[in-house]
Amino acid sequence: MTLPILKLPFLVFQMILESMGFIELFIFTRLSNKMKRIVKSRVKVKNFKMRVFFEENFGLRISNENHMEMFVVDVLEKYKPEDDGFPLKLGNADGIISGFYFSEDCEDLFVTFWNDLMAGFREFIDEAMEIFPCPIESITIDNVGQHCEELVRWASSLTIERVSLTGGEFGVRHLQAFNVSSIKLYDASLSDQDIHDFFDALSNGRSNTNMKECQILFVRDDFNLDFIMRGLNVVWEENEDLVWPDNQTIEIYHLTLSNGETGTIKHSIIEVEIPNGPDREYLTFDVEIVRREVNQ
Amino acid sequence: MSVENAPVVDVDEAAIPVEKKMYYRFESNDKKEFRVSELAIQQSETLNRLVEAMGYTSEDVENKPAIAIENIDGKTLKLVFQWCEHHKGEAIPVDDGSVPKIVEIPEFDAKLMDIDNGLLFKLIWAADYLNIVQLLNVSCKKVANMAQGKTPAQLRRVYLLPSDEEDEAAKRAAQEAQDPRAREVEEEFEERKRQGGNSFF
Repeated sequence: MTLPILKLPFLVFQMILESMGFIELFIFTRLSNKMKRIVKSRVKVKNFKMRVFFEENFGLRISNENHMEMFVVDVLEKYKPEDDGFPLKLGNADGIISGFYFSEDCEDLFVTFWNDLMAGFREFIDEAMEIFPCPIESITIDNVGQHCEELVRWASSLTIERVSLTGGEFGVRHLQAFNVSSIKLYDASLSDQDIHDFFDALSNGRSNTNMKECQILFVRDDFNLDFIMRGLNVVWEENEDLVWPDNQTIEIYHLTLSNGETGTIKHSIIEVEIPNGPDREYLTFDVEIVRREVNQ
Repeated sequence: MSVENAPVVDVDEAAIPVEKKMYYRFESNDKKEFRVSELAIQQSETLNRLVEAMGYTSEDVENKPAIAIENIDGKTLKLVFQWCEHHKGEAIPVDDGSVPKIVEIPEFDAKLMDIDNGLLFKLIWAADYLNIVQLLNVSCKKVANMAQGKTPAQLRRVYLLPSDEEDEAAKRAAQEAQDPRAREVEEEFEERKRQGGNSFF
């Protein structure tokens, strides 16, 4: 039986829209241009944040402490006919096979399937960010190979709190593209020269001027610390207690930036939990900068 | 309907305090009468203000005519007052500002709203008109939940939502109703275009 919601008082109709989940709202915007206008202008998402993932597929998670939903852009080969998908118009593309799913944690998922993952990402992200303009908490880009340039260019144009990158394809210029407060780079392939250049630009205020913490994790274990720290305004902290059980020393350098702000560079070994795999040891550089509060 | 025969919605006798409880009598637009406790009425901002303004005593309630609620029928009003009696004494919820809204539907409310969509539609109207914040929250949530797992075609059918073409046709019809000459001018313009004319004037 039907329930003609447009015949309810408009504020009640608005309340119904505000009570819907993100996935239902997104489908609503596909119904007509008028419905899209109404959702965009009357449903102002509040108290939610986005997390964006580029891994083997593309994910956009919108959540707060009470609620979580996720949109996924995947390749068409992953779609199974028994999944009861339906065609959807998305951006300039029509007839995109889409469907409702649940994650292992019973999280509501809405998946669209595309011939070309990057084309799907471009169409979907523009629509989603237009409809749900909420703050982006973090972006994770893992092992995206040839797409890293396009994704970094797109992501670095946004206001984000944290960025996590994985893969040898990421270089110093990619780290420097993000003026965010926190950056992590896993499986880094940066050379000693690259690390030095990154620290040097950071110290002299030529890049990452908002960065408060940065962690770079390497698989390799040979570093020329004298070369990396050459010319930087650092003081090595001599402390015999900072020794790991297997005699790997933690090195701590106190750093003073050219603008007078201070921080530390820590070089050590950490053990990282790998999902569905054994824990892994990484040699890391951890940078922490104490930024001065800017009075508004 | 006489006062004696008026349906009294779910009253928990054991919970009645020693002092005499104040009840009010309301009448729906189809002449069904209800006795509702003062505490339950507080869930409705509209009714609460109304009874405060009337300043009835217990004797007034019995001797004067029931308060008429002219745009709500008895079937709907019975649900409304059942809800108010069940939730009497509960604080009126304050919106935490989250959008989408996080609303849990309690078991009692879910059973109460296990009704056909026509009656649910009237219940939402009544909750809005009587300004019963939490009943409006849960009934809107119930309608919002109907959208879960629905394709665009199914949403159109459930909520009777028009497509772009239907919106356009409705807009044209509304314009024509306002100005019948507009259609004639448009047809004349199309005809001239077909004949190869460059200018209408």
